[in-house]
Amino acid sequence: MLRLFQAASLAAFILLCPLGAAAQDLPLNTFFGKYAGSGIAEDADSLYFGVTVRDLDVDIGPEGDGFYVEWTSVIRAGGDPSNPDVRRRTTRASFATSNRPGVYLAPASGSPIDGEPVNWAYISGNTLSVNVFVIREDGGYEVQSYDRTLTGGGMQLEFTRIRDGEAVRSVEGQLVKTAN
Amino acid sequence: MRYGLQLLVLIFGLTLGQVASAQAAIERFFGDYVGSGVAERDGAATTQQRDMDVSLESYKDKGFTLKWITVVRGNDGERTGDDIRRREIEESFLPSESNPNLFILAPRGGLFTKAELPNPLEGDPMRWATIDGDTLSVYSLGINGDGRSEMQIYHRTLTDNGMDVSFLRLQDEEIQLRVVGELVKTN
Repeated sequence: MLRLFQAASLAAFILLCPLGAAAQDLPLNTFFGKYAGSGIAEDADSLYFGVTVRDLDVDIGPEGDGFYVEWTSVIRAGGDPSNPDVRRRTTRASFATSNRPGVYLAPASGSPIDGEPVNWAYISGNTLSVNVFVIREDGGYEVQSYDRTLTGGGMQLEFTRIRDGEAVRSVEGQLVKTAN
Repeated sequence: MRYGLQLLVLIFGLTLGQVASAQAAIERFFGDYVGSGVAERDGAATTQQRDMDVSLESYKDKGFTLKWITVVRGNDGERTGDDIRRREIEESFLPSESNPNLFILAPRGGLFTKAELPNPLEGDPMRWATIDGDTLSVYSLGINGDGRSEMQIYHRTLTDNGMDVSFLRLQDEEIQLRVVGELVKTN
């Protein structure tokens, strides 16, 4: 009953929130929960080879003074169309609070010069944005950005991978909340 | 003991080789260049004319100093008037010790200070450069107080007459400003 009330409150907040109030950032714990859904991935070859559909699971929860996010993609592409090849990938990242309100950092793992990623997250309105930046061996850069926006029924995902200023892959998905 | 010394000499030799290789790659860009370009803002109906000067020279015999001046012409496209803006920047880069493909912004002051990338998560922009054939690229990543990022990318490509310039500014991965220009070598 309490969960139902929390979900209804969040839905009401999001639906009733006027555009002018979009600047108010949701508290971190409103993003906690498990979400499941699917998305469509596009890249430069999509015009010729089509888009790929993937199943998406996201789990966000408290960890230390920050949070963790674990996401799983199941990609069905290639092989026999009636029995396509299946690839499954799970990634987990942890973030702690920083001295900047609303900005969360992954523990420093090394220097970006050596190809170590710079990870950070922040909340903007209804969106939790997780970013992974890396300098490649050849000196160029790549940034992956996961924007997870709470909606009335769950979450909308927008993923982009930018390489040297150009988008090389994007995924858009819709997920429903399956557990708190 | 003897093998340890040989290994040390080998590592020292490889490091010197990397520095020499980086220096040879950048020397081709040394010179003065002048020209103009056009800036396009995302969503803007009009473009902006810009005059550009670029100068590249050796820094401490292993890196380079890059100076550039941008003059944004007034709304009438002329070089006179109260609404022209001038921006001048000078910065030096040194080869990275761990990645032979990278130059890192040299620290200001401190004779023996090591060139290290600042941490953008602490508010300092992270600037580095790389060379790919005829193109010198300089990148700058800044992350502001609320977590939003700004990336600036300058590509400077050698041509028969001088240099082509291409600049991108991205805010949270969205392109906000694009500048392209052509410069001739004057020195």
